[in-house]
Amino acid sequence: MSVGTRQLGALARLSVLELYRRKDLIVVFLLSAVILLPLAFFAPFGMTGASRYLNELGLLLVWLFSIVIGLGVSVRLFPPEFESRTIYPLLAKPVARETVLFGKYLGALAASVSALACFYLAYMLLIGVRQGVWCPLILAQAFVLHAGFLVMITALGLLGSLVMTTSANLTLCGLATVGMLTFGQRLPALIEAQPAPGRWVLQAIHWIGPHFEFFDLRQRVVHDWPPVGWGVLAGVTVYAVCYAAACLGLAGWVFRRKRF
Amino acid sequence: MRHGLYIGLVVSGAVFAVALGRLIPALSADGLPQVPGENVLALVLGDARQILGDAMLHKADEYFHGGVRDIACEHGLSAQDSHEAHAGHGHEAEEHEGEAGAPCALPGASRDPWVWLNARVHAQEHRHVEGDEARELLPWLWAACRASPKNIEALETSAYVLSRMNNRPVEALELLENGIRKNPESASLEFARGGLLLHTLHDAARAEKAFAEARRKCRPAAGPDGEDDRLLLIRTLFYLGYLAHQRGDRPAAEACLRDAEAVNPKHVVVQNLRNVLQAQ
Repeated sequence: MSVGTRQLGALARLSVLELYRRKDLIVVFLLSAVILLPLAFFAPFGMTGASRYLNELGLLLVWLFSIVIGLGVSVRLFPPEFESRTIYPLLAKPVARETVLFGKYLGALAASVSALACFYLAYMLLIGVRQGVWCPLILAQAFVLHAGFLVMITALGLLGSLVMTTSANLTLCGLATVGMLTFGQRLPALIEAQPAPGRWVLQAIHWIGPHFEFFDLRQRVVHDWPPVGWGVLAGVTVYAVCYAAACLGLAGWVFRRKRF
Repeated sequence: MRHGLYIGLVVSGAVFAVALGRLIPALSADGLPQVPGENVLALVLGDARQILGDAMLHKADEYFHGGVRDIACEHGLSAQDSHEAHAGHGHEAEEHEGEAGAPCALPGASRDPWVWLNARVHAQEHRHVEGDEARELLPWLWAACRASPKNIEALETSAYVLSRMNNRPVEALELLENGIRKNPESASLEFARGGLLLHTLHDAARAEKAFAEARRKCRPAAGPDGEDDRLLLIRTLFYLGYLAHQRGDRPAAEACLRDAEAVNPKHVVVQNLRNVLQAQ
């Protein structure tokens, strides 16, 4: 194993340990159980057998908590190091700045994806026990695309953590994420409906903004739609990797020029 | 000494708060925003319950279309006229035989790569829930009725889904009767109850009473604002005339026809009633 790989591995392991040390996952699971368990026994108008509402709420919680964890981990990668000045001993070691940046990114991504895997496992258990369907193909696709979403959001959070304060970064990334998930699909219609200055802004958002809604397969999972084509899956994954690479490239450029 | 003073202050403050809590509703009951006896949801949400109820109803409509949002469908779950117009013809699937599975033309044909991807990631086809799947609508409809007991549309839609799509007419009738208790002025709910009793439970006597109540409560406003109520009145008179005709009470049936003609003599429902009475 090369020195660079070992350095990357060590940096990434630190971020993963940080997530599990803070016990965020336990809180999230307890909260989900408190919300979902009473709903699992709900019989509207005395009729049992409805399950999509529970699947939808379960997946909504998975998305919500994955955003919280993904952003929470990535926006805190550098600011605490700058504030406590622990970045100096790190940079004093024979490790390139690009390696530090990429290692921390990999750590944040690994932490977020491992948490996501736990969420999907819990969701799979939920639908398996209730409906007897254990791992439909569409759920596997949903997990892959959701991981792609985390590839993008952690890169975006990391870039933000180098150019603004933690709270500003969290707010902006949170707004961008929720905004895109809510309105991303309707952006073309909104662009058509806007007069000139607003239209240009929306067009810029449409072309440059992160289209997180591409990764949201909740509708297909909940309502039993057929899986998406493999070409489409590959296209969306390539989009996520390219977008994350652009963010990381920009972050690398900022980090190289940053004066501490 | 000081400790005793604190205890005294806390106790007197608590007594004062309780006394105020009892006095204010007694002295100015009309000025309070809450209605005595309303539940916690009503107290917390106030008029926002109507918006919440509408959102839940919208969600049920989305479920009816397989999770596809903002779909242009004239047979949407909330279209009450459509419920009646298609009564007994299987609302769920037949109307859209030609449309089912039809992709939305606009996103698929777009040259914008983002729109193209979106159209393939998110299902766009037009479909309706069928058979056992119809029970998936119930949680949202239940929530809509619970959030907003004054939401007539939610009550009517829920009754329709329960009786026609889930074969639970007794529960649907119970829901409508609860709704009527909470909305005693609603002619529309009485009409829905009459329809359910007549078409599904085949209880003509109770149905006639419900239609008579609907007729009594229905007071259309003048001008375009009263258009929906006038239509409801004509349809109520149709059923009253039809049921009177079935009983052999010809004068009562003709009186209904005259009343319906006074509202709108050329309406197709009035013509239908005329045809029914002229059939013998």
